[in-house]
Amino acid sequence: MQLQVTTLDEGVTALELSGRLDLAGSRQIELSYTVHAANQPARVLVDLSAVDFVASIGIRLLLSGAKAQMQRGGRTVICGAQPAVRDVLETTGIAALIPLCDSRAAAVEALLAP
Amino acid sequence: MPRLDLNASDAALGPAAEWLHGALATLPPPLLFRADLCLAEALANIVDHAGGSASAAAAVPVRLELTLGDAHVELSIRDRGVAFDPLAAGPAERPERLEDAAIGGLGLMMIRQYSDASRYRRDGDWNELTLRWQRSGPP
Repeated sequence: MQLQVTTLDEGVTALELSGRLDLAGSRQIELSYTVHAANQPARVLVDLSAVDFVASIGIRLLLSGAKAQMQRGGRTVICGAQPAVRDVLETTGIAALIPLCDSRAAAVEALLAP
Repeated sequence: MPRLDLNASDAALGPAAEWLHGALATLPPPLLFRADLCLAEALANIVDHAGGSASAAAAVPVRLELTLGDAHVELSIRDRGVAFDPLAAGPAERPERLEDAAIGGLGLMMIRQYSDASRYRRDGDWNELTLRWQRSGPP
């Protein structure tokens, strides 16, 4: 499991995950993910296009990051989820809590919307 | 009949997933994804419940067995931990708002959602969770 962090021109923090977001994968990125997703008020784009598996532990990581970010006054959007991963996010109800966008462009737009 | 014996621990989840991928390599990816997901959640649940503590859980034997039928695939997950029926828990409530979202309780819901049939029995000292998927079932 890998996490790549970049700051986009618009001031959006992009967190690009790749690999299996299972127990081992979540543990690998947990600290770094939480620091970047939740420690400061930010507009956070979580790119899941290279994630091919997500277990409940991974969903909890995404959810706790988005929840903490909201409490700091920021915003989180997920983009690029593969169909099977997207289905898990929808089935567990997470898609109703964290907006899902198909593309990065749509996610940036959603993050910058007033 | 593919079989894998392991001890309940966080470290066993990776090898168990690799075993499942190897044994089900010829099946459609959506079915493999669902089986992979259910196995991950079931094992995580065993690690959480089997021994009452992390060190006790590590000593709990787990046996995985796959039955590949013409119409369905069945996975039996047996563990020698304390009796626990993962199917007896009520349906998890979906949180309505992010600020209210409880962090947890999703794994058992996912086992029910991503298997076509599931049953539990206590067999002597063993818990047995049996999950089934139709080969031509819902996508």
